[in-house]
Amino acid sequence: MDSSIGIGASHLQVLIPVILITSALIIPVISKVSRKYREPFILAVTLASCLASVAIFLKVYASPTGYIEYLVGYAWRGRTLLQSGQPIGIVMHTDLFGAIMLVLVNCIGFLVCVYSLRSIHHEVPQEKHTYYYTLILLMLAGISGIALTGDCFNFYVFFEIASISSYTMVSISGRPESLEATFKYVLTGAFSSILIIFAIGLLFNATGTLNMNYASSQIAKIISSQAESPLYPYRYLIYASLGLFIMGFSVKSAFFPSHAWLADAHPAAPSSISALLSGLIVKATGIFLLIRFIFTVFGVHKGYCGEVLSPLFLIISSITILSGSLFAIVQTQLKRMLAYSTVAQMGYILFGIALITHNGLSGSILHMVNHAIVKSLLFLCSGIIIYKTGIKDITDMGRLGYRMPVTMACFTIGACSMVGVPPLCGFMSKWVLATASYQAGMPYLLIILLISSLLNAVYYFRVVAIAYFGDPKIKVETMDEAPATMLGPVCILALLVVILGVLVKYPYHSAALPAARMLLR
Amino acid sequence: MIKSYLPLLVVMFPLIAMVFRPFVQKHRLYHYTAIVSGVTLVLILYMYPQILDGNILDLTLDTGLGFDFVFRADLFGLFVGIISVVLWTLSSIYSIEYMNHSHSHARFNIFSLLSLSGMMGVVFTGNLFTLYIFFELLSVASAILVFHEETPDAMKAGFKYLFLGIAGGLVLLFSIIMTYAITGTGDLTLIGIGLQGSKWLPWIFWGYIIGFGVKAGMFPLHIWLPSAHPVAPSGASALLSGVMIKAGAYGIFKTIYNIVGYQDIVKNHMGLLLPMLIIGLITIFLGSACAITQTEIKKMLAYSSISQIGYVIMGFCLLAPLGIVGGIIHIFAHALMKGTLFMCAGAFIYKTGLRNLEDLKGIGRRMPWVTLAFSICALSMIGLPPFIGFISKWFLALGALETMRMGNYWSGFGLIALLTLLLSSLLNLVYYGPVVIGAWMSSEGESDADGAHGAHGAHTAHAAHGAHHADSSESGLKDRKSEDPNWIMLTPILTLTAGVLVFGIMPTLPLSIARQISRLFFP
Repeated sequence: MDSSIGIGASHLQVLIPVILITSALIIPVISKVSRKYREPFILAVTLASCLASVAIFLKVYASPTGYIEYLVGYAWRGRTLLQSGQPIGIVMHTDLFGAIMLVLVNCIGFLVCVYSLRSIHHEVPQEKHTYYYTLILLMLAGISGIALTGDCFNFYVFFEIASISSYTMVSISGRPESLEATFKYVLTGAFSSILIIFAIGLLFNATGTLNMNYASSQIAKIISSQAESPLYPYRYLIYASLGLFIMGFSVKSAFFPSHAWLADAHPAAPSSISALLSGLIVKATGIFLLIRFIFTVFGVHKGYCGEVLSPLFLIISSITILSGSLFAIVQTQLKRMLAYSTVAQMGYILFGIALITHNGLSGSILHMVNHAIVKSLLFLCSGIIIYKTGIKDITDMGRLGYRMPVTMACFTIGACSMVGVPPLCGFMSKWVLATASYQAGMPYLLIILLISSLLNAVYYFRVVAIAYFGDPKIKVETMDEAPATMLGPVCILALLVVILGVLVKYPYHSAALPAARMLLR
Repeated sequence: MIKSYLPLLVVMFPLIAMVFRPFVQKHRLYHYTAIVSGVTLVLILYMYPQILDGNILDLTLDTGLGFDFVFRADLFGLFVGIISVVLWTLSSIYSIEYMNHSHSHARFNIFSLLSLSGMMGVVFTGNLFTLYIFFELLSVASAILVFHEETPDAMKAGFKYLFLGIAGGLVLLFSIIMTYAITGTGDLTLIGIGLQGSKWLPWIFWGYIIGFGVKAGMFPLHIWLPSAHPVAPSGASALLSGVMIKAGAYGIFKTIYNIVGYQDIVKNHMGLLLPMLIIGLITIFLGSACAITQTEIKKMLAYSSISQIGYVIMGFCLLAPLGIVGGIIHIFAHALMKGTLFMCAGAFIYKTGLRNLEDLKGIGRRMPWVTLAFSICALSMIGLPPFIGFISKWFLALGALETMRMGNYWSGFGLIALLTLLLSSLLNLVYYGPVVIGAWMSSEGESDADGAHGAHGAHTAHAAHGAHHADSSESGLKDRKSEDPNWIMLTPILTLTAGVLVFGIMPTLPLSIARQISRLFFP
């Protein structure tokens, strides 16, 4: 390939979001023409993007620079730099961190689509199935774009695509409570969007560019400038912009004071969507971008902003971890409990960021991956339970383990991983975070992690114990399992939970740690 | 150190066997568990000659997070492993008959095998990380055995067990993470893991003690034990009391002698060991004192277990070679004795439905063989020669005297330990004595003459227990022939009793192993 279109560039970087968006628009046409081609088309598209994202990951992994860059429009514009060396136009800049997210999104997206084939008949009105598929592809396109992009303009577009499609998805069932939850979600989401677009404005004002890498070098120049330099006053713009970004992404990541929307929105959506929301959207539009901006763009490190952000993040994450777990304990609905557990887990990820060390950040990335898989698994399981029995309350789940052995076995694996039972993947990432907190000189923070694990045990094992030992609400002793297209994705995710735990050295050493090293220079 | 896949195989074999469980016929499940544990025993014995030569078998699998999966067999691990698997096999054979009227057989067997794997993992491991994994597996899997009956009592006891186990596990995890973070290793065969001089050492030490102490049933963390052990099916109670609390004692040993190390303790950390010794003594005394007040046989046995684990902890904390020998032999002795006692109690319950000590009067006439086994083990518990219980108490007493001589503690503590041993033996006599004497003494003539009492006893039993129990009890009273359970239940009981007797007379084998272990730590 012509190297002038970018370093190690691959056309797939552009093709993934483009194909996903185009397919999203084609789906209504296909279902108008012939309904029976709709599902195969969805599966083909998501499978293709899944494979393509793996290909991109391998390319990034093999790349000597650690990233691949695609300069969009080089072919017809012929140049991508201004005289001053400032890049112009859209850039797809994918580093290892983005590639991890990309693979995660598309693989879970594919599994959720397989799962949706049957599950939506129960949770989504018949006439909205086409919209459902359109929105799911838009959502995947948005998140993939976020993972792939290298400039702030493009990022904001994808950010809004992902956000708006997720708002719509929450309300798709049309029930009153989901409309209420959507309203809450849209308001907080719009608030965070305003903060972010404002922050992008300030960033552009200070650096004169929207290209993330170029902005990053400009920021470094401004920060290191002396008091008499003309660049010096711009640093206040940089600080303001950084603060706004952090506030905006904190709302999206559901950190403590702004977590209320999540607990309503995630349970209100159909279960397959809850899995995408909790597993991917919160991460991609929240914490992924938080990491991306504070490290890649603003280049935060120990000596610069770290001394302020580190204690701030530690306090927020500690409160988020504990309050999320405590709220989860008092829940009676399974999906609400899972949603609050997501809040707590986001706290863990922030905890690793707050340490501002390579180990802490790699722990965060690992936990992000693990949580995405485990939480999708748990939400899909709760979806199967609703699909087969209509049970939503934890107390009604008595003896479900005998009625639906496969589902509950997978749920139990997920629950154990959440609690941190070794050797499942949840334990491994907590271990990395724990050792990182010691190495950062803050061993007392271990206690927060351990208390939270205990709280996790209280609410997750309660569900498992009721499912296997509780009194049944309806006495059904025969096995009554969900169809294979729903069980299959769940089993694959459960298997991944075990494999990523036992063989943790591969994701850790070949992905999480190098990604953290590239982010935190 | 020799590379060998055997330790890994021993740990994994029950797990692999579990996968093939669905292919086993439903009424052969307990046979299957028994055979799997038997094969595990053979695998362990296969390692025995090499390890007796002083070798260590080891297999290291890298995880890449700064810690490895290490499966390793050394002498102490092998010793505890053999005891565990023997008891496991016998208890599974016992359960073939005992669990006849139970339910959820598949679940019971799956979690029995999982617990076996957990137990094997705890003893056949070479580092803290692997130990933690299997320690947690043991906690969670054995909780299901406590849940098994699904009565409200069992549920309550099970939750208590599960959450205390997990809380303890997390405290343990804290210490393990700190150990790794400070020393960069978790190797359990080192003597003194490298925490010397760290200001965190007391925290880490108490973290380990709390984590392992919960499992061991050490005062004041014993609160789960008296409720959890009696509600489990008797075969499982035998394992819980006979084997699984030993995982905690094993951990406490490793903490004192491998993680901190004798030299360092004596030099700098006597302040840590002194409270441990006192806790050990309190555990002995408290367990016995509570056992006296019990009216239910399995509850009494559970409290007795607390007391006995106190002996083991005391032995380890005496910091004397003979104390270690005594502690290790007591692990062995207690597994045999308490395993038998719980199985006997289960046999009483199974055949007559009687649980209260009051009602067990005269049971010797109805079930002579079981009562004989019960009596022998109770006498051994009290510490009478020529049973194995005497041997271990003898060595603990010698250890206490040796402590006085070695002078690590104020020599009065050796004396106090000695007195506690004697006092506790007396207390054991107080609560085991009447049961044994009552079982044999109150003859049928008396029970006929005292008809009102007998009928009362039978009535309470009928009211409390299921119909089939009542039937068997009534027919038993009529026929007046032996009501001993069939040979499937009797064989494990008698085998263990024979062990109590044989090793009491010829304690050479366990003694030589225990001495060899203690020599590692006191060169």
